[in-house]
Amino acid sequence: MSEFKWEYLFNIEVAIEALPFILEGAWYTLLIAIVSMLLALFLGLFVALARMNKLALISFPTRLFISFMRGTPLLVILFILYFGFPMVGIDMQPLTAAIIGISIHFSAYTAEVIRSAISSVAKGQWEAAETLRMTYWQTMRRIILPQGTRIALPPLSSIFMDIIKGTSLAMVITVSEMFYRAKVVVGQTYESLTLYILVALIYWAICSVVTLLQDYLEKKANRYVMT
Amino acid sequence: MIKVDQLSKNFNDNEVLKSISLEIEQGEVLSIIGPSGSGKTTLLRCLNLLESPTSGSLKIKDVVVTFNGKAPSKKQKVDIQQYSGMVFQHFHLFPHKTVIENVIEAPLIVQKRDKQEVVTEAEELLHKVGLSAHKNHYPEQLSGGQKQRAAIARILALKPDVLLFDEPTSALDPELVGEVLTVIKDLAREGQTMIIVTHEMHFAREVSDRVVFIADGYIVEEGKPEVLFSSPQEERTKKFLEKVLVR
Repeated sequence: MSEFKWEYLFNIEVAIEALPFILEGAWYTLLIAIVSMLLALFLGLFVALARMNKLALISFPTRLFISFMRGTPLLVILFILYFGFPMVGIDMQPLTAAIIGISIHFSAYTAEVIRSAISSVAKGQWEAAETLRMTYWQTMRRIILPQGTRIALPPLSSIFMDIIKGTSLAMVITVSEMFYRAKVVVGQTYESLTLYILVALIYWAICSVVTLLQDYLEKKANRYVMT
Repeated sequence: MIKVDQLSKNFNDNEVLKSISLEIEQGEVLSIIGPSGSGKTTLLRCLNLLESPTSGSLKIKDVVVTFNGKAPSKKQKVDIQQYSGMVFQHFHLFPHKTVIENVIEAPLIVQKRDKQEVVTEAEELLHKVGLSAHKNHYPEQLSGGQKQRAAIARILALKPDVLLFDEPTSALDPELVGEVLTVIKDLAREGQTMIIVTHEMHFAREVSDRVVFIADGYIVEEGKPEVLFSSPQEERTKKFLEKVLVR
């Protein structure tokens, strides 16, 4: 039995050497996460509004969409987009497929959060806006959404973290993001533990920044609430 | 200015308003009194189409809407609501906006007027309701009476032809009722047309040109306040007034 050495657990030299290459991948991770989050928010708003529509013709298909997206693994969605769609002549770049897959998958989650945030705003706010002659969109944009944001911020930042971590799945469709690169380095150095711990720490660091952002935004959104 | 003709409102099988007919003149102050659940608030909300009447018709100025069981169209709502403004029992101020932001919201966003002009007007309105010192406060920082005065300033910014008050002082601590009633009295003096649903009998008597007593969804009696309060004709009115005027 060989004796234990710390560098088996975490080889600092290897980590430092690999860091620039890994961090370059972190930019892809961030790019995919941020673009996907913005798209998921935008899509989610419309999915939420469609889901709340009184017409079954609109709300029922939306429910089906939410049910399907929440009921299927993101990995499978990515495979369908990247490996499946070429069968019907739709070829996508890996990065494009990753962003589309992640954003439509998570739009089902943001939609449910946005829907509950909208419903949480008191009915009287709609009536006050109506008697002030505001239109539906004016009310939504200026009265309801700003108040709903307060409620939606904590769950939305959880979703953002899920998206950041979910970008690692993009490696299976050959996107050269952070986790993909860690695997490449492992292939060359066989330092699997070191590299995987390194990327775990970087994911954690990115998510910690999101937590700070959440704290800041919550403080801003709560400025009118006395405690 | 307003003509309500055989207006009825059903909630499912429950007939809340039974063929109400009522006319209100320009500059008139009308109080609606009656026991809880009599339909006062529903009637007021029907006048602003926050509630859809089941049948009958409503005319405000040159706009006539006839009801046939269906909800009024968006256009009908807009047409009716352009003349009226509602003050709610629970204020419904926008909590994420300061007092002055609440007041300038509609003139700025709905009427798309010049900001400078709107702010100047809003400051005058806030001065009028005694809230100049609180213009940059958020609603949560205000007392109930201050909130209601801010809500009145907010709707006045649109210069509505008729103001509808839905129990404006019912959610207030007793010592705060007076400050809101004073504001309403000032408006009455200026000739503002108002319909007020209230439980404040002394106030109704003092401020109104005419009082309507509603019970069980229909108008039992109406008349000048000095007549209705001191010598009511109907048994139902007498009973109600005995109960509420004892205090």
